Amino acid sequence: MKSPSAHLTDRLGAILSRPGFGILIFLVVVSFVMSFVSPFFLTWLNWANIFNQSVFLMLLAVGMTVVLIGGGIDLSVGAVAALAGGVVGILISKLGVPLPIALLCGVLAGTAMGFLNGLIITRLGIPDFVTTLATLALIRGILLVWSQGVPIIGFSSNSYMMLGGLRRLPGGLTVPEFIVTFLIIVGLLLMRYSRVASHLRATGENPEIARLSGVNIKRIKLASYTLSGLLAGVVGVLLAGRFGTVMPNMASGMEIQALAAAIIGGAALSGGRGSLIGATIGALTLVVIQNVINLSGIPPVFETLVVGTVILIVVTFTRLSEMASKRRKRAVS
Amino acid sequence: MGADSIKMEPLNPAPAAAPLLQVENLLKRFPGTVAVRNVSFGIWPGTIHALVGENGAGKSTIIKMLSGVYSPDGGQILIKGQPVDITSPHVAQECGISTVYQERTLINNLSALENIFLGREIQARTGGSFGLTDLRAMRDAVEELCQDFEFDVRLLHQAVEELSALSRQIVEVIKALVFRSELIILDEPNSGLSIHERQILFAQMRRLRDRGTAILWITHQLDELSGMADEVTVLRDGALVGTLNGSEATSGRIVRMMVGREIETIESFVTAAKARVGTLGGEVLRVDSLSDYTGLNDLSLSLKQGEVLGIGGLQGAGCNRLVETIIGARRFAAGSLFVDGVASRFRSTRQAFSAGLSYVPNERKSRGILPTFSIAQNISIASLSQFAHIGFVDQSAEAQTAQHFFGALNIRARGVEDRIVRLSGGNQQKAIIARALAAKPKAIIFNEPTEGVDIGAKIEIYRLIRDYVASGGAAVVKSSELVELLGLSDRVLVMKAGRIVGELSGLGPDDRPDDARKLEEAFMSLAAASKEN
Amino acid sequence: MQFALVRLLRTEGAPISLALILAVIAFTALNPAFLSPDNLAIIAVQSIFVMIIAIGMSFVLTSGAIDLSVGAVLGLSGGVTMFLLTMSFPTALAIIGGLGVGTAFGLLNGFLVTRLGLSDFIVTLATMGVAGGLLKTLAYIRPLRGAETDSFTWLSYGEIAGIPFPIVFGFLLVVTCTLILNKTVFGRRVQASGMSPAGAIFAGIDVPNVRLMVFALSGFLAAVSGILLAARLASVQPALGMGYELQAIAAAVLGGTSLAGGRGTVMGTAMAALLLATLNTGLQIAGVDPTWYPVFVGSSIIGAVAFHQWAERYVEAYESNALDAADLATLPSSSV
Repeated sequence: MKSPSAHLTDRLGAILSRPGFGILIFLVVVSFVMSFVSPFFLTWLNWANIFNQSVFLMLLAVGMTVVLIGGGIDLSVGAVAALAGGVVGILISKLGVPLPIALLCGVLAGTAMGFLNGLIITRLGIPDFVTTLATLALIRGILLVWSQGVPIIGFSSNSYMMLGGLRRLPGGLTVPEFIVTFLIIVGLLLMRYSRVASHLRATGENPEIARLSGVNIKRIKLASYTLSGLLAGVVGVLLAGRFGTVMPNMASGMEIQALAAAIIGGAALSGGRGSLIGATIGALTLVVIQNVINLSGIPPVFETLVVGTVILIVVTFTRLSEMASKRRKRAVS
Repeated sequence: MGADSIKMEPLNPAPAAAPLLQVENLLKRFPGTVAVRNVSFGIWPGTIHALVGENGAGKSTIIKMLSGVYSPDGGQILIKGQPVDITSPHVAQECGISTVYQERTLINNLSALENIFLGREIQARTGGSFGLTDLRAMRDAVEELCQDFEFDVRLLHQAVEELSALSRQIVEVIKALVFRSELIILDEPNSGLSIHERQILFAQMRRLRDRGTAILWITHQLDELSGMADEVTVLRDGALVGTLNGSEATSGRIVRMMVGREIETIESFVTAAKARVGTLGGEVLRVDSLSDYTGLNDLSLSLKQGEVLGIGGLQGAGCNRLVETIIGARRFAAGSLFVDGVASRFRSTRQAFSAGLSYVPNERKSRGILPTFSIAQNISIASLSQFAHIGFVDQSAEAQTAQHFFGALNIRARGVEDRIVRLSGGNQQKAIIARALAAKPKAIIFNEPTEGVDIGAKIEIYRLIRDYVASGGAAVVKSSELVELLGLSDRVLVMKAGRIVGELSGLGPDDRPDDARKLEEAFMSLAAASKEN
Repeated sequence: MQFALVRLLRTEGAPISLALILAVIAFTALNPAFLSPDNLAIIAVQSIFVMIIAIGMSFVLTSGAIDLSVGAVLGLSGGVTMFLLTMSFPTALAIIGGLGVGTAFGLLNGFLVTRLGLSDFIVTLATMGVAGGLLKTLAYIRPLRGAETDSFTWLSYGEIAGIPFPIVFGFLLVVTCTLILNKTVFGRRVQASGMSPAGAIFAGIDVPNVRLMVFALSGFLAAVSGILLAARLASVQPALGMGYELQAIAAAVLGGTSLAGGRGTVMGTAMAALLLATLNTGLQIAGVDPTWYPVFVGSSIIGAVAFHQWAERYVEAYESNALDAADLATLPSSSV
């Protein structure tokens, strides 16, 4: 018979270990502390900004989570986003293409890059991170060549700015926020009601058994990378609208943040696991950290330092609690 | 058709019942060996048919042929009198055969329901072609089965890694049953289950049988057969020994059929090698009350200079774990270990090797050889400090040592610099043994010393081991080949369920085949004992 | 013919050396000035910084792991040394400080990966961020320049017997590390750990310990490179080292070190670093937009991995044919 306190700690442990939950607690604690540091922190305006800001990372984190669940990794998402944005910018400013078509082309460009990644990985058998690392370098390079180091400008317009989230739709949401909400709902529905989700998890967790059961692991992986590229394309298109200019190093470093967000949200590098909701919470967390740094007057240079440390702490903590729970289980049996 | 070669003693000789499945003169070859040779038996609907035999007797090969993983090199399989060609697991499924393998085939983080239907999900009526699935239909399909097995339907949506061993086993069985099978093959379904859970599983098996399903049941636990099996087929070394009626299938009789093979090949060796028994030296290795976190309990042994101590047991008994714990690859929870009287607790294999133990691992391909190294480099790897001056490896000394072992162990290769992957299995094994010897150890632990080695090299390796202990060494040999274990060892420790349940003396130089047979039966009785612990 | 090709493919560093020679010939054809001793010296010096961390990366890859933090650690170590110099520390102490920081990061990586069993990918990714952030912090506190001492500058511009010090140093490092990887006990253990961790463990090798030391070495070499680079540039920008890990991986992979572990070559890595520097300069001389360089780096990684995978399969197929023939001769005539 377990003592009541043991029951309580067990249940607490079970809740805390669910992906994304622990980080929610972290957010609550941070918010509490910050409310004393800066009076601006807990205002509607600040949080509206935070959400509006985090949508881009959320989209990338969702794509990254999908790829991670399938057992892969996509380090090129930042570059792909920049590429998509660049495509839109050039089409509008240099070739006078109407906005909707340019947007479509941008998203298509992202999707095509994702597809290419997937092809190289599934057909040529080159390891995931090498491939996407290489395409990262390739795309950044091509962007540099195209733009000659000069930011692409002159393609902005009122409607594009609204798309980028600078203006709110009736109902209070900005377009990017709407897209993210829509995506999460669709994603959750798919996870529950379609076989794609379980096939993807099977592929990431145990490709051999999955294959023997009839799952087409090559196709699933290819699809996951294409989706990641598509989402990166959407992000790039939205970012271009938001900022009105595309720098060659736009979204640089976002792939690392997306990875961090996905992992904070419960995804595992080894594959098979991940949570869409967790990824969005993870993305939100990272943006909140940025916000905290801004508001407390700490120079932004510390940001990578903080993000890196947070990842280390989260990962170490998760691992230590895993080891502790294994030890507890052993003691019982 | 060779009907006279088939020994059938059907439980119900009622002429209406024809066998559901028949295998006739099945043959399966692998490079260097014949795994299944001329096996024939029949399975009737509504019966539990047990298939027993030692490790390597051919049971799992036969199952793989029935479930479409292998194709037979000879003979045929008939279902309801019609010959069938089972070319893939899907075809087997269509023929009405479902298999629950010994290696668990569930994907951990998927739910039970997802595992059951992986790759064959029931499509939703709308949007099915886009991948949408009908959760309700899938749940309904398994509902009846869940009730039969007393499986809580709420558990269907939990990830299987969170389920108990019994629940996971039930999910495997449901997975096999959900698509109307007429024959279910259960390969060691009881491994990992507690006594109580086994009873539940048996009850389900009987229920299935009573409803007309045929069950082919592979098991090591001979004592469980009574009251369960309607027929028992016994294999030995890939060949059929006989098929018994359930009522005739006593433990004793089965054991006698399982063992007692020709041991001429080993007999002469044993006579010669063991005739030279010297006096035993001091104690080299001692283990006291060792326990670990995986079920090893209170294990003690003592190894003296000049002797070969055998360790054996059925799969899952813990022999492999014990050996790996001694060598420092696994941690132990309690107990102590002494090498030459010095108490040690090895945190790594490196410490164990430094203390004077050497190891010849099992699964040579993945754990033994270092594939891109040359033979000489493979031999020296465990004793590099011997070949080193100020950290640099003396490659000529290394080559010389390798050459010496080439001669001493009769390793056939093109040269010491040849890559080890180019050697045959037997020669690779000899190279690993050379590695162990090169470290000039106080004792060598052998894990399956002749796994995947042809008979000629086997005898050579046996001679090597005996010569080694005769010249002052000491050896622990873990082997699942009974004749090898008894022939090679001076004493044999028998393990079961993580404990040492008995000690036998090895085959002596004056033993006759009858003595050998008695010894093997004694081993089997200990290893498969019916005493509940 | 087949046999000669197999010999070539299996010789350490041979394919990449061939590629290097071809590149030099091609660029010289485009512009004879390419082959001048001054130009070659510049290329050699430029290649050293990537070469040093690439050699460290080779060790890490050979042991079966990966270290993504080398670029950031390179920058941070250079920055720390500069920082200490601006605070008027003696040159020797400043250098020791920089080396200490790099090694500390290496040990941190190693500890987290081997003792806690965390993924090397994630850990080094995180430490990459931490190191980069620390460098930015330092650069924020005070500008990292203007404090070079003569001895410090000598590290980059001094000469030994007429040869620039970096080149001498690089040469000595390549020789030393080649010997370590191929001829020492430690090197054998590194190779074994990567080619078959289980096999290495059961042969008495302490694989976690080996990997820990390899990470420490990688961090140390990153520091060495960072200090030399700081001496060269005479100032440390906040983003120093960013992207260098990619070049290090590229050089290691191009040179023939296997991503999967077990097989590494210092010679090949050095040649590959030279090749990358050659491409960089050669493209400029040939009048190609230098912004194409990252594109080359990216596609060369894919090309190199694909090539080496093909080469492996080719050699294996050749050898297993030979093995079948040999086996047929030695198999006993009857089966059991």
